[in-house]
Order: sequence, then C-alpha cells, then structure tokens
Amino acid sequence: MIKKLFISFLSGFLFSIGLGISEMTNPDKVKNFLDIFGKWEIDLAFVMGSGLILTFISYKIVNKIKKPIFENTFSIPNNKKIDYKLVGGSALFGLGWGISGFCPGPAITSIVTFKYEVILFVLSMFFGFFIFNRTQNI
Amino acid sequence: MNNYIYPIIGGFFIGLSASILMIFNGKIAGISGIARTIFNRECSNSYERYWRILFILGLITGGFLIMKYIPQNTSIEKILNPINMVIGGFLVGLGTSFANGCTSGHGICGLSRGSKRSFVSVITFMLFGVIGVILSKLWS
Repeated sequence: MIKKLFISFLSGFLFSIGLGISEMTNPDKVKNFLDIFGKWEIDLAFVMGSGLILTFISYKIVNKIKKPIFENTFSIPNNKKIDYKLVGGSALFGLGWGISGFCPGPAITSIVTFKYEVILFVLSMFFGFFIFNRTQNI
Repeated sequence: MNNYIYPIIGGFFIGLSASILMIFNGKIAGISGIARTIFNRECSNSYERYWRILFILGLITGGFLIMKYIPQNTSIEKILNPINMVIGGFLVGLGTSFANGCTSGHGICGLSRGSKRSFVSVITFMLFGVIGVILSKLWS
C-alpha cells in the first residue's frame, strides 16, 4: 500500500506543478482563454494538447500491460451512455468554470494562497458535491 | 513561441501525472472525482480513502512550491469576485458530479482513451465556459 500511496502523492504533486507552470492556476488567464469573443489568449489550449500526447502514449502502454504495476486491475469507467446528466452536468461545470476561472484542480491547489475567495470557491464546490450526493442517496 | 512554451511544459507535467497514476495504480487522475468521493461510502476501505487524500496532499504540496517560486502564476495578486466564487464553485461542484468528470477527468484522461462521453463533455463544458465568461462580464 505504501508504494501506491507514494505514487498517489507524487501524481498529485506533479499535477499541481503542471497547473502552476501552465498558469491554469491563474483565473484571469483561464477566463482570457475562454473569452473567445474578446481577448482570446489561446495559450491554454496547448496545456491540454501537450498533456494529451502523454496520456495517449500511456493508454497504449495500458493496453499492452493488461494490469497496473502496483495493482491488480485498472479502474477505468465503462459507462458509455451520453445522457442528460453528462451534458447537463458538463454545461453547469462549464458555466461555473467561466464565471470563476477555476476548475477543481487549480482551486484546490490554490488553497495555499489562503485567499478567502479561493476558500469560498472550494467550500461551494464541496457543497455542490454534497447536494449531488443527496440526490443520489449516497 | 514564448507564450506557448510554459503551457506545453505544464501540460507535460499534467500528462505525466495522469500517466503515472494510471500505469502504476490503475486510477484516473480526475480531480473532481477524487475530491468528491473522498468521504463517500463508495470508499469502502481505507486504501480507497487514503490514496485520494494523498493525491490531494500532493496537489497542495505542489501548490506551496508554486506560491514560493512562481506566485505570479497564481491568484495571489489577482482580484476575485466572491460572488463569482460562490456561484462558480457550486456550479463546478454540482456539474462535475453529474458529468462525472472535469478538465482532468474527461479532458486529459478521457479524450486520450477515445471516450465518446468525454468528447461530448469537453465540447459542452468548453462551450459553456465561453458563455460563463460572457455572463460574468455582463454583471461585473
């Protein structure tokens, strides 16, 4: 378990380093990226593009190795339904992202700024999780 | 070229993070899912809870380094509208829950494995991200 927990920590660490270097943690930069009828700074498109090159390669590896190195099975979702929950949820998420300039990763990473506005976002986000869980009786 | 080099490097680290988590632990680096399910009964055993906590701790640890060395890339000197934070946060929390993913889960992890669900999700949240910016400019 220790090896897997270390990998989890390392992964989270690398993730936030990537968010910081790419400026995904800067809500102004994110909003300028989404401001396609205004300033439109396209730079952040390269974040996803660059990340996808690596994950594309890693899925090739996943298909070859059949099981993870420290685990018995891959935990990959097999839901293939395109339904109202997916589209509606994505729409709500997008709205929230555009309104605030934050998505979950950058927001949690930014807790270290100790800005009350960031804490507000994170608390509201968890409240959103809570409300969802209530609708699912989790 | 200058403008694109840091996003490319940052994206590389994000992709590396997701790749490592999948190849070693077989898990998807979807931040909304990880954060949302930490306290769920879904996390039936302590490992499922602990790895999520460790991932979040890793995020925060990296966050401290970013604050120290590249604070200009964070929100530290920026003006944030608290009402946008509350509304935005709630929408992000609720929306990512129903969509079962966000920019990392559906974007970075889902697209690369050819998931149609993720493709639909990404197109949708990008479109509504554009709308969200327009809305926030209208009321600011």
